Amino acid sequence: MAAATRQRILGLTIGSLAFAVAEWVWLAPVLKPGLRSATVYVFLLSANVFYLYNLLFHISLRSRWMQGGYIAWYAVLFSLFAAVAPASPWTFGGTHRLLLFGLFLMITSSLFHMPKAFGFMVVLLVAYLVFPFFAEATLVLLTIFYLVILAELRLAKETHSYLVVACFALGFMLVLAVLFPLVNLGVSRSPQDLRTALLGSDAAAAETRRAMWTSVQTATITTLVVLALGVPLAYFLVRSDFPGRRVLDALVDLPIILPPPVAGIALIALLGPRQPLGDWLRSNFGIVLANDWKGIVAAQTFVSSPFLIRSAMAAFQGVDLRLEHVSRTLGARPMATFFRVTLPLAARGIFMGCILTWGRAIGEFASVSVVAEHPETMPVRIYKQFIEAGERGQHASLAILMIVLCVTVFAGLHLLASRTLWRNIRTIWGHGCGSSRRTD
Amino acid sequence: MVRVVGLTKRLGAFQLQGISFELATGDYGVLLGPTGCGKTVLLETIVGINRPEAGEVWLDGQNVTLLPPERRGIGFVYQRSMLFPHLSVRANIAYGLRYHGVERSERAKRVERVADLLAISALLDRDTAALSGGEMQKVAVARALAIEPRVLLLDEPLAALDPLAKEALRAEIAALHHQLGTTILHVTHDQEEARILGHTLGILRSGRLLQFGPKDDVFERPNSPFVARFVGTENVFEGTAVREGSGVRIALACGSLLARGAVAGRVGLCVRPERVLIGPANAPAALQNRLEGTVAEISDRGPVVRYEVATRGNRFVVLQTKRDYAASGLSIGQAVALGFEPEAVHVFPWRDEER
Repeated sequence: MAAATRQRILGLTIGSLAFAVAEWVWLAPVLKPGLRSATVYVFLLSANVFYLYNLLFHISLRSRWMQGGYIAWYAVLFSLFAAVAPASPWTFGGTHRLLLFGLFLMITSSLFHMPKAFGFMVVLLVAYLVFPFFAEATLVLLTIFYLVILAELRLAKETHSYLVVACFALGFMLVLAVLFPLVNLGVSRSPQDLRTALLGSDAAAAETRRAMWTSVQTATITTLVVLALGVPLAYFLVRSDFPGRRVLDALVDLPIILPPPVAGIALIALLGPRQPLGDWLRSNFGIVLANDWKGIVAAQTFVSSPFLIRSAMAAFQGVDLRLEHVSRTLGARPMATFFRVTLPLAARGIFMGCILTWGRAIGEFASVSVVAEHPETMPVRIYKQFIEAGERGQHASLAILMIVLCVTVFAGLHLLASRTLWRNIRTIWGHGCGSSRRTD
Repeated sequence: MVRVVGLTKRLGAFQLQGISFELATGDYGVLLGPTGCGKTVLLETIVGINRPEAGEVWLDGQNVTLLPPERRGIGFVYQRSMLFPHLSVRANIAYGLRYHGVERSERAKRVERVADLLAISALLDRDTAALSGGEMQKVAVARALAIEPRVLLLDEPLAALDPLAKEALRAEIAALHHQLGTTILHVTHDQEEARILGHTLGILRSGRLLQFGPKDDVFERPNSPFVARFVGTENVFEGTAVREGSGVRIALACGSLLARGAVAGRVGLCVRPERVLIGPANAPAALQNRLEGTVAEISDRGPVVRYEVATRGNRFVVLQTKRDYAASGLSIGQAVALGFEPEAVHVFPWRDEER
């Protein structure tokens, strides 16, 4: 037997005995008489011996850094369970705590030279021990963070630059500020609660369904209205040059800067009941804005139009003017050129603008609630529940439903906006135009 | 036939100033000028994208100055092909057909025919993003030719290509013109391109057309120092001419030269470098104009060798074939004699503002 191996076996024996004594001293006050306690003692001892065995026979063959880390990790785990864990509902009693400590000791010991798996264990530990009250939300977010960091680190190794990783680590704070409350809210109600809130047979659930439908409907109509009027405006702004163009350009963003209630109040002051224009609209066309879906659309249009106009402007700017010139030299009039060249090339950007506008419209609360308390949209209903019913209200469930709805639609639309798909649509569009319309 | 009369167009700080020329049907005209001379603006004005402040554009006897581009029937190819990225090659070429009364059944055939002409039939169903630079330009030319334009305008069509693709497309365009007889107006900054492709040549400089005429005229008999230098005549001098016999004698710093022609007084003169003979200083003077100097520089220009010879007060550039260079065995610093016939000297009235 080699001398080194003999040394290690000796170290293991002495170390194990030392652990046995130290644990006996430390555990004596905790352990109660009986078999269960003896099991805990034996389990903990084996865990420690296993940890030591791994250090002496595997980890010690690697770098000094790793040995240091391995020993430090023991200290971290020990202090986590000794100091932090008692506060965690996960590890109430001493026995549980000790068992968990042993378990983590063994698992992390075997995973120590597998950084990726080890990292996941750390994420799990941090989520359930350090943030026990937000364990699920923390787990989800930390896992995302960890996965991205892993990918980024691999990339950083190739490019010899850790700037991007550092930027991500900082930027993730911002992501956290958005995602943490959402995920935390999302896991705060059970699927059963959501089911009751949306599909229940009571009047409240019916109201919710109606509000949801109203929201989807008005946001969609708003998007179509903004699409029909905003795209021409965007094209005009991009392709024209007149004194004051910059002023108009800046005005497009005004609704983003104004507080939304201002938008609602301005609309009501112009088109509301007992206002000249409002009365005129009602008596001549029967159009009423206050407490009507048309009012909701008007308010949503006001606040959400900049998003589509900006996107469409960026999209039109991306279409080389010379492409339009070539189209015209080939015989296409300005209108034909717009529909056969400019619009297909800008379509994807415009569609992205539609997604943003739809999202802004469906989420709009303040201006909508000023113009129309009825019919209720989801944001208005959530707010009312929150105010009227307080803690017992369904506002959390409704909010989660809203998150689910928006995220689903967003994901679906973004999928639709994938480049490959649009390339195909553009092509079909272009060819379709080429064959289906009459010769000029 | 393309006729441009007094075309004036201001764009920012730049201005086209009274451009006039006439290009006969079936002719190949090249407008040559340095970057920023207004070539693109001129073409865009002819095609109708810009409206000129003054002047007229005539096409086959029709005044088209006020017509929008879609009603002029002018084919236009930009330096960067400007293919419609959302359409296949086939759809790109077919793009303009329905605006020119081509029946639907006829369109596919027309596309095939044009593609055949440019040897791009194999590319028809490709995505435009999958084409090389040269292929893109061919498709752009095919797209413009498909509508059977009255005139084809080419805006630096070869400038963005690598040398091999450039040479191939240049040959292709020349063959195409020979075959179809389409009137072509081509702008470029490359005098080699102009020399190979053009039949008629115009020289543009900062919005002004300095000289316009048959190619050989412009190359051999430039009317100003700028034109002379721009078409590659590196020996441009200023001197005073006095009549002598049937020609003139011009006094230069390095000596006096005999030239044909009757322009007297303050003149500019130029001698194309390939028409100057060079040899050791002690060689007998067989030619009427003989100058002495020393070789200052020798550089390899592919098929020819370029000498810079310092004479008293002037610097002459001489081109010699590689074979002659090997035979002469000249080297830098050697005393040499230069000789050329009076016919090789082109004399034009000197105008200061055009230096």
